[in-house]
Amino acid sequence: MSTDGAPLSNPMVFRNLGLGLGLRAPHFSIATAGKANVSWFEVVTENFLGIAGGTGGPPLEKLRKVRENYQIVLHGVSLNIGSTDALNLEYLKNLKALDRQIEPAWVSDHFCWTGVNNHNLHDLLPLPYNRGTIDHLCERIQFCQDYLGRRMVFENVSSYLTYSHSEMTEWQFISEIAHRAGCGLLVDVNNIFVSSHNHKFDPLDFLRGLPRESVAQIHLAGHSIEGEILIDTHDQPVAPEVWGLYAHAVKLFGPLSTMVEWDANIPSYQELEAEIFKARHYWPEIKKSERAPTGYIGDINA
Amino acid sequence: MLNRPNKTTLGEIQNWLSTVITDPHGAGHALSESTIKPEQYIHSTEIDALSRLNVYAEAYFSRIVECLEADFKTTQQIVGDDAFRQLIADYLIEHPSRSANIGEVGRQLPKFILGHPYATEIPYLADVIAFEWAAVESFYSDSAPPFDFTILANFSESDWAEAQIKLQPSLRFYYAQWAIADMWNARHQPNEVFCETEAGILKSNNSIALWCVGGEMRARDLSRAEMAALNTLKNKGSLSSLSSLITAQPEVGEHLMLWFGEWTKLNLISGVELNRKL
Repeated sequence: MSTDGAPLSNPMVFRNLGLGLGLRAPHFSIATAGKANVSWFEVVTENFLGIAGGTGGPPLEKLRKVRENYQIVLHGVSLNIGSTDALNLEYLKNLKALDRQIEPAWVSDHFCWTGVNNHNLHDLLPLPYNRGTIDHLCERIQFCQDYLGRRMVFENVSSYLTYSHSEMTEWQFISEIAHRAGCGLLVDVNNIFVSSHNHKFDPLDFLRGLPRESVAQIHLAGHSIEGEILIDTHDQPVAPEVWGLYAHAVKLFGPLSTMVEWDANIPSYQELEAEIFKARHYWPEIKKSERAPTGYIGDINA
Repeated sequence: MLNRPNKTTLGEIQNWLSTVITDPHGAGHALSESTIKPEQYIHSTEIDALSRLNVYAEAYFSRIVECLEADFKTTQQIVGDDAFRQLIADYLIEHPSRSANIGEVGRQLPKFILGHPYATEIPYLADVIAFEWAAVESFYSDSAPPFDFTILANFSESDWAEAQIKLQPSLRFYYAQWAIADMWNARHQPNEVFCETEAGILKSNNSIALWCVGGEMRARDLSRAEMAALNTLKNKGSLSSLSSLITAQPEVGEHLMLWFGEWTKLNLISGVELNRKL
């Protein structure tokens, strides 16, 4: 299949797409006109699936236009991979159809559950980190990957609670799933920082505990403080501490595909690009380039 | 579908958390009603369990309200922010989201409002809500790019009789008991402008055309004659198919050229085709 780096038959290599952005409605016109200076965009999958009995409508038409000039990553929020409900085959069917139309670099979702008993909560809810959950997720991830015919990528979520049923750390949990299910990892550095504050662990332990050969992509975002809890709000610039953690991530994993998510109080497109281009500072080998390189394979197997 | 080791434990956790964070009276109320103590399921060192659960409970409701505010903007303008949130809280008790797509969450609201006290207090509210959901459905349907009307310069008089008129695939007809289109068109206007439009609403059976062009929704009040002409074109396509309608309703013939100009200007027409090559 025409993906950049993740057919199931290939070793775990995800192409470095360079620096990208989460593409949201206010900035679609810039992307459809081909005027963006980033090399790729990540979009929220569900925004292009339409509603039952309909089509993807104008959003999908615009995405097709964007795809003419840029690499796309499809980032889902509703696969519900960790739920005890049966996998939603209708959703998977629609995802596969979108995948075939858009030919994204890869398809991602989250290590989480989003609903149970056919009640969708539309949130990325944390899982207990134990053997039983690992078995459950591995089986379902492998099913999804077989169904889509491609290796998927899963993201660590920010969390505000942990379960007494957990038997291991979050990074041990997702590392084992990546190893057993053969999926890639989307490392959200802001989520690590937020969770480390909320659950009192060292965020560097998280990064160091991940299998570098599985890491496909990095997310950056802003967060907010509400009382004693940090909330992953995606409504402001990336915090200095998160940039510091990103510097460690680049040292550990190499300069991988990196993007900024910004979903509320969305600034001008120029401000968004300025935010993601700060990442160049941590990519010494490409810091002078006008546009982040495409086609560069990071040293993830080194 | 798949074998699930440890299903009971994981399922119990998920059922419990789902119940707590979706309780319409708040997570604290859910905990007080539950036989399960939060510390049986979650760690609550330094930050208490309720504060942690409230993050999810507040996000659950806010996220759905935000989505429905976008889809039912006119409704929100009519009832006000607080009453809108109450309406959605009432709605979610009967119709929790069943879809992976949050965009589906308002699908049952037109039916739900019929039995809600707000529908009695505001007699045109049910019409508005049903219309706003129709707009969502129209938005998520096929659409055609704007038509290049310069092609019509090559049409002969005989061509027009057999020309197939293509209307926007997103075109929907909506039948309302109230004249709501002006109010809907004013939904993004400042509150005083919107209120002035709302104050002028009249009860009158009318038809509204609803369609999407370039990602923007449009609505137009239709007279019975214009509605009949558009409906005939939508179903049959050719101008000649209007001849029997013109015989039955002479005003169709009187206004057809005027309407055609307006349909053209409004991008309601997406194409005009002939059997022969131009």
